[in-house]
Amino acid sequence: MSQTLTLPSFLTEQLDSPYRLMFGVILILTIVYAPIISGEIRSFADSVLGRVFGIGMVYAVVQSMGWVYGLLTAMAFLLLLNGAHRTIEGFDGGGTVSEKKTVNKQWFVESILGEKPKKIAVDQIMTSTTKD
Amino acid sequence: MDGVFRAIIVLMIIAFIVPYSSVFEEEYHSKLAHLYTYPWWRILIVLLLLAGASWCPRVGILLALVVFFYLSDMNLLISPLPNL
Repeated sequence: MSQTLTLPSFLTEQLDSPYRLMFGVILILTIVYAPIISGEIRSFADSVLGRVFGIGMVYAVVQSMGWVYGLLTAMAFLLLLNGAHRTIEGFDGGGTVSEKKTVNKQWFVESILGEKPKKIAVDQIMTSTTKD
Repeated sequence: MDGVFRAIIVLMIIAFIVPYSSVFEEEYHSKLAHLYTYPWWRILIVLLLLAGASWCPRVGILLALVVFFYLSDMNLLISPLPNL
């Protein structure tokens, strides 16, 4: 009454090479630790070149290593893209609002929240006395 | 019998994705939100995805959707405001 322990098929068939195993571990670590990957890498992934490279890599991995690795690669790439920091300000693109550069001054709420805006729309506050 | 199990799992995952995973405003259970902070939990769910994908491609793809929505939502929710 001896039972043989069989490994899952993705271990015995697709992870036969140490290079594939290493690549799989790197993919898993990328997915797991995606939030702490540096902003420069994320910004590159979000650029035109980075997107072409990422999609090409997913295609190449699917062709060479199979769809399971391709799925992991696509997930890692999408998680990188998802966390890319975008510095597009809400009033970019013209309109009646004139942009002003910040001069190392922060509003109280910006200093509390740790925000560092690159452009601002209003640099003055209009106040008036209280009237009954 | 295996086909029935696959169909049941696929239906369960779809029932989870449509009202829960794909809606950002839908709140995750507090235990799921708490467990996200542990790397071993994230490794476990990626390994679950691998196991599901090796069992059945349809289950693997749907599980990948669930895992992606969960990870991306939690990444977004724990990001500091200036990084958004």
